[in-house]
Amino acid sequence: MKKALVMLMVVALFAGVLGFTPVRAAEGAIVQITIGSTKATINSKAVVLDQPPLIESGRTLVPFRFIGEAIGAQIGWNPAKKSVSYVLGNKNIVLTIGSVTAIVNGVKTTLDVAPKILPTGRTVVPIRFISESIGAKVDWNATTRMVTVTVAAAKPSWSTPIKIVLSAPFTGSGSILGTYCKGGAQLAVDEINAAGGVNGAKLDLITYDDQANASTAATVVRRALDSDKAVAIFGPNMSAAVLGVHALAQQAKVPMLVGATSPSLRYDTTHNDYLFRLRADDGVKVAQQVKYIVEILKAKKPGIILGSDDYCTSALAVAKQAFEKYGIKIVDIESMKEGDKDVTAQVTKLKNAGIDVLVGLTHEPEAAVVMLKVRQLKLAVPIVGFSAWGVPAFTDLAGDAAIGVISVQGFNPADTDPTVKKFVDAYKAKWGMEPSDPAQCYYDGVYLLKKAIETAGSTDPVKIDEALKTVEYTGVQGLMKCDALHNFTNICYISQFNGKTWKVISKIP
Amino acid sequence: MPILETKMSEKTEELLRIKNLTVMYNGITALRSISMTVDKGEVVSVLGPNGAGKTTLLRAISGLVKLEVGSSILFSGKEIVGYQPYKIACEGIAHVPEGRQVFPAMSVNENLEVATTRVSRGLRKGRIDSVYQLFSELAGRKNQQAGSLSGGEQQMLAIGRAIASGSELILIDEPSMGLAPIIVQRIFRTLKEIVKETRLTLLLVEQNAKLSLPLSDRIYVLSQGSIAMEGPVAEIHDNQMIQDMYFAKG
Amino acid sequence: MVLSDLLQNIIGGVTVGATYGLIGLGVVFLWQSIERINFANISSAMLAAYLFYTFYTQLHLGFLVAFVVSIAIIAAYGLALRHLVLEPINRHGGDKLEFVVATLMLCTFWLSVVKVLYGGIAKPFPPVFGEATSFVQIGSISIPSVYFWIFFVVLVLVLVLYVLLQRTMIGKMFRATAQNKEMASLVGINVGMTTSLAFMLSTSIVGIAGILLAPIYFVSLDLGGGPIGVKGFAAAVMGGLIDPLGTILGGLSIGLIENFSTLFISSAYKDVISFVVLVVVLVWKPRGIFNWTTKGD
Repeated sequence: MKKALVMLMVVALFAGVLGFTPVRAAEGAIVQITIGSTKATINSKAVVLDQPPLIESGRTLVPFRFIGEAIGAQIGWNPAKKSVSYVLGNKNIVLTIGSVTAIVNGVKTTLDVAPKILPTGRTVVPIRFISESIGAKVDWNATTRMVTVTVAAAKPSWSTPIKIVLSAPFTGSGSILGTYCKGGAQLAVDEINAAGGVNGAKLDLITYDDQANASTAATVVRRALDSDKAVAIFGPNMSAAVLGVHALAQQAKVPMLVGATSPSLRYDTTHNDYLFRLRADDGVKVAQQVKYIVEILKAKKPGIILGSDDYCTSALAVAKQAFEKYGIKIVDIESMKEGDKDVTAQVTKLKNAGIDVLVGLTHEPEAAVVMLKVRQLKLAVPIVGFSAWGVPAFTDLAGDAAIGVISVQGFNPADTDPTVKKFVDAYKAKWGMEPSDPAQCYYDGVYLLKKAIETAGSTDPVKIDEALKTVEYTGVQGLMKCDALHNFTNICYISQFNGKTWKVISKIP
Repeated sequence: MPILETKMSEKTEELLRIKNLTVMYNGITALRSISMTVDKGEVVSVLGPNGAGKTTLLRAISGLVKLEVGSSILFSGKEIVGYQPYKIACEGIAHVPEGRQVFPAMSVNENLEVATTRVSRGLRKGRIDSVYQLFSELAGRKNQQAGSLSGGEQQMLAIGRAIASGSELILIDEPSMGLAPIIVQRIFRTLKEIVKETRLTLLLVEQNAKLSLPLSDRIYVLSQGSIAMEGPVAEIHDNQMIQDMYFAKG
Repeated sequence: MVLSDLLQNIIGGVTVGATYGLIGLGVVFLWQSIERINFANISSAMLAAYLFYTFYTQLHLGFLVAFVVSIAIIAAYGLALRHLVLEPINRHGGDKLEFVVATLMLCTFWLSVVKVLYGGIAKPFPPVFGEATSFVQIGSISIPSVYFWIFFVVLVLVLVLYVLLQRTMIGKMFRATAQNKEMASLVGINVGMTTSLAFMLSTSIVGIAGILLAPIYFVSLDLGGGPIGVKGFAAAVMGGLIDPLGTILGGLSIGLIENFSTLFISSAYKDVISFVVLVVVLVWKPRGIFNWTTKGD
């Protein structure tokens, strides 16, 4: 019972965390059997048959259930009519025991050999007929007496809906981001479908919750690749999750378009031809932040308040380099940990170091904690924060303390650019709320994919991938074009918070 | 008048009546169909070798062990089988367990205080003071942590707790265990005093019959979970078996 | 470094330290009453803060109603803890360790539940204790007004707890139950009742702390684990797990050590230094350094 209690806890704990592992027979499989032998292989994995294949009138007969499962078909058995059916994709085969008449996709066909029940009680069916009817290739090796059935992976036909998958966090630490990701992507999909789709085919967006968690994201991506047969995957949106799964997309040769912003996802690091980024990466943003501090604010003695995780420390690395390039020395770097609620000492030290600008490289709640302390201790210098300092999750918490904060943003809904305005209005009309970063990047991403499919003239993921590298598209984020780092855009805004909205100071580029 | 009449009335005032008390531990019978009575104002001793079931008997009365169906314990005429231990305590049965069991991280005074839940608020202090009168050793250590007392003092505190509670019946389990003879004598002297002055009812389990018998009115001898013998001290004292078991020299 | 800087840091350290102490009180109370350590102690703070947020901000129930309802639910949760966690473990022969394991799981469980229900983004706490940006200026020192609330409530809670445990019959009954359950029942203490009350009081204290701390911690998952949980526990240990005042002083010293190690050494080593100090203290004085309740062995 003690154990039971603990188990209960564990189950409760993981109930929401664990996803699913689809165990499906191969779609796109190679099946090998040998006459008279119970040993067979599916995708070179050994399996044992309960009935060895046999030859009758020159045709190879195999157990009906085995062949169905091996090629991944759904198997039906009607005891009244003594009929066996196979369904795979849009193919449908019905055979009747003892009858040479079969029905393939509703059309009557005659077999050379009828399916039969052996004295052992096993039902066997002609392997070549089943395989070829389903569109598989059958090879016979007379010396080894081996039959090889090759089932090609089903390719979505041009007329069926084009499946795309979005992996985004809807529960867990980034749940609000998932809402924006989906809001942007779904808006684009609906707009495209309403306008007639992509070359007449509708887009079908399937959304999964990856909980901003690398292992859940892996499950989601596998499902998207294996069972959904997505032609492209959007997300995950969190860098750590992308790092964990982008190789899966590479293996499957399916393009993955992400809004994650870590510099470690650049092409020169990942060398993944199937991974693309839909918004400016953090390295670009920090560089712009420093540029603004030095060139516009003319600051000489920057101080930094720094969070502890990868998002913060990789921003610091870029900031250090950037300041160095200008020949400016950072006079003080004070650290805090995510979850810290008192930064009196840090802010005191920054103040006493005589800084003339405070550079904020933390997450949202820490930014709020810092700003409340900055106001309390009257640290009167310009505050220029990183991207987390430019979102509602920060301003909601900091309230009035956030007034005057300058931040580098990937998106600013207050931008008066007509394309941005049109997007913001459409988003508001559809979802009843203002879009926030990263909604715009998945919106742009779906349009970009549409263009790539049209350019490729195919829904083959490999061809789409090739097209993605060359297409150009002008969206909410301006001109989107894949660069050497597989980034589509470097756009960012320097904006200042006035208590209600973020006023755009400059838009780069 | 007095003597005969008093005796008569006492005889009729039965405080505890146990009938057919049976306790099983993991399939072994620890107590088998025990039947006994304790009258008001009586001191009853339970003798018997180790493992005879003496401690189990006291624990059974206090509701600490599960009783078999058919067991009955009447206290002041009320069936208390099935009561939770604290309820039995509130009915007026105090238990001074083996090994004292004082609350170590509480002061002497607090130990006594928590035992007075059944005493009405206004009388609590008086009851506690009466304990300090009986055990002057404790009076000087009111605010000392009970855990830091000597073994003898802890035993006094444990008995004091039972007295403070104002219970009608006190169950005492091996009060001499692990204590120096001089301390034991000191404690029994006080017990005798208490019995004489307050006509308190005691059910006493004590290995050392030399100490307990002079105090007792009647004796039950337990052996292997059953009552082997019973009777007034005067009668049973001369019994050869008792002599051999408890008074043999050497 | 000027005097006002120093004072400013003492105030910051003391306030955050007091919050650790407040959380530690929940640990102390349960230990005092039933000698169990509830590793999901901190969850009550998070649950209360989210409940209050739901009632006050989302359902517009008004401060008093929202507060009372939240704490009532938290108290009922305490009762449920007893009947759904403690008792089943006891019934099946489990002991302290099993309770620790179960409550550790529970802590993560509540974090997951709140994450699913409210999302992971911290929410601003309504300014019921004054605006976050309202500061009281004393000379060159500026103090957020919510700090005064924290000081006040901590003071009141410590006083109430101290009196309750040390001076009242019910408090003594709690302590007796903790020290020897069987003996407590033999002296007539309804152990079931004191155990239930202990759980309800323990979760309520932490619940009150949770609502009080939300202006500083926001309505966030940070209230349900992480540094405050660990340091609240550490504060309780410094008070020997039984001394309420010692627990608050333990919390204060942790808060001050954190601030001063940042100020005089480096912010990068803040946590390392405070935990090293804590470990040293525990090894040196395992019964707690601020423990006047138990002396000697």
